[in-house]
Amino acid sequence: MKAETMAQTITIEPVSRVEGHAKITIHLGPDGQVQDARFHVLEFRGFEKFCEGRHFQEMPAITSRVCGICPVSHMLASADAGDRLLAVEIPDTALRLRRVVNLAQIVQSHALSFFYLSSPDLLLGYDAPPAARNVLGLAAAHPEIARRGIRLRQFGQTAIELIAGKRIHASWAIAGGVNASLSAAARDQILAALPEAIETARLTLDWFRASLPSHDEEARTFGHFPTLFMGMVTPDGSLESYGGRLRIIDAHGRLVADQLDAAQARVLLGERVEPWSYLKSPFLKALGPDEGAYRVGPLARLNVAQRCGTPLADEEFARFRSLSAGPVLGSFHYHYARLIEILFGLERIGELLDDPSCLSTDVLARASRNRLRGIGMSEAPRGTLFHDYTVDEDGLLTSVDLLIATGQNNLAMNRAVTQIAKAYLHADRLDEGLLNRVEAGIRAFDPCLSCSTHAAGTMPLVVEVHDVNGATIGRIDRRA
Amino acid sequence: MTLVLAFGNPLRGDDGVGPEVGRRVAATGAVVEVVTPLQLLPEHAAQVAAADRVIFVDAAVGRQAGEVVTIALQAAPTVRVDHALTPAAILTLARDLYDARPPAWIVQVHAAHFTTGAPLSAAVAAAIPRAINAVLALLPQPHHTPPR
Repeated sequence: MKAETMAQTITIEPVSRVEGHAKITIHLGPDGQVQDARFHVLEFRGFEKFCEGRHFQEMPAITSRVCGICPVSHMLASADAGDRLLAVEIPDTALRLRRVVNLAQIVQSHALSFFYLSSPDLLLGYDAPPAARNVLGLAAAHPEIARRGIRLRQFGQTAIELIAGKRIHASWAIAGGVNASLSAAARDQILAALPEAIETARLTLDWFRASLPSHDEEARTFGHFPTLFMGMVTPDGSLESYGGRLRIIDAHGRLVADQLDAAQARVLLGERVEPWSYLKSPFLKALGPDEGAYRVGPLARLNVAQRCGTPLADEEFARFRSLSAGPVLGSFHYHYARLIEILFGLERIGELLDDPSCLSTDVLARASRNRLRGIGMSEAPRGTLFHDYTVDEDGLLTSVDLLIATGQNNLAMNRAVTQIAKAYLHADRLDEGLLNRVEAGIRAFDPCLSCSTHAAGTMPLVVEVHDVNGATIGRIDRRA
Repeated sequence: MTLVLAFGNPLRGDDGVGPEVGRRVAATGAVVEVVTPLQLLPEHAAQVAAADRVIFVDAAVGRQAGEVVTIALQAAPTVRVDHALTPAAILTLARDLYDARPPAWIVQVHAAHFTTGAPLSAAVAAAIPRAINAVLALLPQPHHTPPR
């Protein structure tokens, strides 16, 4: 990392320990105080364009290649869009197994986010040297937590592999259902591993909850502001991750829209394109980009839901919701919500696999294309994921629109960076403390830039500070 | 048991040489456990910790394409960490998390290109038998001590 404070802008590039590659610029006003901050996404791959002309049945396998972290989410949203093009209801067992795999994906991705990427900040401190503030530093200082985190992620990945055939880039979910049923041996293996995973989730929650008072400052400054929230719920308002309907609430907890299917929700959402980023900025059209900014992902899902729907997670959900009279607004609490979702996911996997119907071999509804447009969705680890396909009469795609969770948090991430910069930036110096907190603020959202720009690669961070004339007055480069 | 962690991305030209060598080592009938991931992750530390010895196989740059090099490895005190870990980082995790220090080597096959969707280059494809022999030479053999 290097810092230059010669003349006038602040850039953080690359942002490390997030998925992809990004730059942050911080813009000062005439008074030298922070006026605005921008989270730039610099990679571009163009999945939507090169999928045109392919058959929609290929899309679950193709789009699972968008990302190596959440391939399951893309596969499932794509299969859901395919179901709608076929105009079929998939067999109950197929839906049950898709739900299990999606929850396993949420567990493994949240474990990666919390234990590998974020817990070094929480356990070692924001001012710890970057060389130590990573999973290796965590292993040296807190080996039991690191061991448990690794085992928890393994649980999720193994469950995915046992059901879908591969940990990443599986081709298991297809339009109409899934192409393989679950064996009793695989089910038993997953169920046998659940108690240890649940114990890890509970122990981690106990530790995190106890540590919350020491993170009070971060909870107030890491993206604490009013926005809308969107997430999937069951018909009775419980937490759901697949096959449910969407709910949108405002910052006071009032319902804005409820029980929307993917097509109904998609109509409500607009997208703003900025010249300085490949990441689009979705918003609720009726309210415009400012008032209509919304958050998705674990924090949003726990804010829109009335309960989780499983016993242990509901106990923790009650504690989580007691943080605020209305929705929990601090983006720092994405971490807390992530841990609760891990616990929920594990409990729900147990419930879904305890039912003997999970072993049925009736897992695929067969049909030809019956519609020309299909919009599918899943709750990816980072939030709601839409796949919107239009096809010709032969089922060949004429347009593809992937609305990604990280993109839907874009407006909120920009606000979070601005808030953090206002709290920690001293214009006369660019220091590690600022850089670390800006990074940690972004990391709370767990952005996946491979998904949101459909880009390849990993993501390190550059921060630049710009003066009122746009001149760069400081720069920190995490790659150096 | 010897663990062969032969990693790389088969969709990126010569980066796929690790998994290819791993598969062919398994096909020799050698008494080894072969794992062929796209990249190294913290989860692999547990497998490394359970092994008597570890042989990483990977593509490399910096020498003539097709050159095969064997290097002894140790846990490294400070390693830069992004998503994918280095062999030394995996050894560090195995040491810190499981108090395991298995002897370890890496067999590197120097690459010509990492072009998306391209097959192995001719030089790297021709090097595969030598890479397999380099792995087999590291296996426990009577009256033979692997190079350190």
